[in-house]
Amino acid sequence: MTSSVDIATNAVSAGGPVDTKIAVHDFIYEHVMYHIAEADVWNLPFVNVPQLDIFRYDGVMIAVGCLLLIFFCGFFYKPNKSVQHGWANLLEVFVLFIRNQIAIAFLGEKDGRRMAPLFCSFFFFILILNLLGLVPLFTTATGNINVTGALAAITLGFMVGGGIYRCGVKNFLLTFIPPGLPLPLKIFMAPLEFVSMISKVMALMIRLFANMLAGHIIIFSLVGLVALFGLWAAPVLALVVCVYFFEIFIAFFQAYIFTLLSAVYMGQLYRPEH
Amino acid sequence: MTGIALASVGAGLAAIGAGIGVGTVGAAAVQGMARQPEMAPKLQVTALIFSALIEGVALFSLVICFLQM
Amino acid sequence: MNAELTTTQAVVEVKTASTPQGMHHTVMDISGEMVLLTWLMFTVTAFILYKIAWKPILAALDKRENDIKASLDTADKARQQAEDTKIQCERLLQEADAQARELIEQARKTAQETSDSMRNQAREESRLLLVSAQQEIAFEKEKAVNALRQESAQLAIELAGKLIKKNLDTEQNRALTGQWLSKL
Repeated sequence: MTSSVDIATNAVSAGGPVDTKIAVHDFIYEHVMYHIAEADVWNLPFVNVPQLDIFRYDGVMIAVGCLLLIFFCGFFYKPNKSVQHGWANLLEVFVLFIRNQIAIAFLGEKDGRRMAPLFCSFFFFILILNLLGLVPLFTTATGNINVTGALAAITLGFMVGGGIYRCGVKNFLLTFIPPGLPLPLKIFMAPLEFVSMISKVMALMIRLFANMLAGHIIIFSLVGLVALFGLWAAPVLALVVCVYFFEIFIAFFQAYIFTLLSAVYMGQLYRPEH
Repeated sequence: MTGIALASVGAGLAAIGAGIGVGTVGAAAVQGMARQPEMAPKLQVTALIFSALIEGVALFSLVICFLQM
Repeated sequence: MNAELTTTQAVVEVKTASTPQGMHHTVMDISGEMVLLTWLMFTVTAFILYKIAWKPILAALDKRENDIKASLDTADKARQQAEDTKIQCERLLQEADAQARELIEQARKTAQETSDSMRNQAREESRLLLVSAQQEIAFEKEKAVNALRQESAQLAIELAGKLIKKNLDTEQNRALTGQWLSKL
C-alpha cells in the first residue's frame, strides 16, 4: 500500500492542476481495479504457470471459497447425530429457511423439495465468495461479471430446462404468448416476453456484480481520500468501517436476493398457471 | 474527462430513479403491513423482490456508466 | 464496443509492476475461462455439498419434522387415553362408593334385624322361663300342700290312733279321714 501511496503522491506532485485531477482519478481507479479486476496473476514461485484468467485472484478465490465451503459443511455437520451443535445448527437454520421460505414458497411443495439443494448451493456459494471479498487483501469473485454471468446462466439453464421438463416443449413455448390478446398483439408480444426472460437473467447477473463492485468502490474511494489528503482525512475511516459493516449485510442480502429471484423466475416457468 | 463527468451524472440520475422507486415500494409495504399486520411476512418478501428488481434497473444504468468510464 | 473498451483501457491502464506482458483488465472484461471455471467449480461444489451436506441435512430436517409430528400425535393420543382412564377411574370410584354405601346400609339393616330378633327371642325366653318358673312354683306349692296335707293327715291319724287307741280299722279310718280331709 505504501508504494501505491508513493506513486500517488508522485503523480499528484508531478503534474499541473489538470494533470493532477486526472492523476487523482487514475489513482483511485487504479486502486479499485487493483482490488477488483487486477490482472495480477497468482503464480507459483519458480514455476512458469501459463497466464490464464483462472489464475487471477478471482479464480483462486472461487477455488478457496469452494474448498472452505466443503470443509465447513463436511467438518461441522455430523450426519449421524440427531441434534447438531454450534455451526452445524446455524447451517441447518439456513437450509431450513431456504427450503421453506424460498424453494417451497415459490416452486410449490414437490418441486421445492427437489430443488432445495440447488438453492442451498447457490446461496452458500455466493455468500462465501461475498464474505471472502470482505477479508482484507482478498478479492471479491462475485464482483467479477464473468462469475455472476456464469451463475445467472446456470439459473437460465434451470429455467429453460426445468420448464421444458415440467410442462413439455409445447407448453413451455406457449408461456411466451400472453393469453387473452388479439393475434397481432400476440405476435408482437411473444419476442418481447422472450427478451424479458433474457433480461431477467441479465438483471440477476448485473445486480450481484454491481452490488459487490459498488460497495468495494465506495470503500476504496473513501480510503483513497486518506491516501490523497493525508491524515486530515483520517476521520473518514470511521465511515469506512460503517460501510464495511453494511457490506457484510449486503453480502448476505445479495446472496439471499439472488437465490430468491432464481426461485421466483424458475417458479414462473415451472408453474405457468400461477 | 467529459466521458467521466457524464458517467458520474448518469450514475447520479440512476440513483435518483432507484431511490424514488425503492421509496415508493417501501412506503406501500409499510402501509400494507400497518393495515394488515398478519400479512407482514408475505409483504416483506414481496417488497424485497420488487426493490431488488428496481435496484436491478438502476444497476443496469450504473454498469453503462462503468462502460463509459 | 470494442473501440470504446480499448480507449477505456488506454485511459485507465493499471501500471503495477507485477503485471506481465501488459495484460490489462477492466471491470467489464469478458473472460470465457472465468465462466468455465465458475461453472466447473460450482458444479463440483454443488455435487459434493449435495452429497455431504444438503442431502443429510434435508433428510434430517424431514425426519425431525416427522418425528415431531409423530410425537405430537402420540402425546395427543396419550392425553386422550389419560382422560379416558381418568373418567373411567372416577366412574369406578363412584361405583365403589355406592357399593360400599349399600353394603354399609345392608349391614346396618342386618344388624338391626339381628338385634331385634335377638331381643325378641330373649324376651320370649325370659317370658317362657318366667312362665315355667311360675308353673313349677305352683306345682311345687301344690306338691308341698299335698305333702303337708298327707303329712298332716298321717299325723292326725296317728294322733287320733294314739288318742283313741282303739282298733279301729286303719283302712276305714284312713278312708274316712281322707273323706274329711278332702272336704276341708
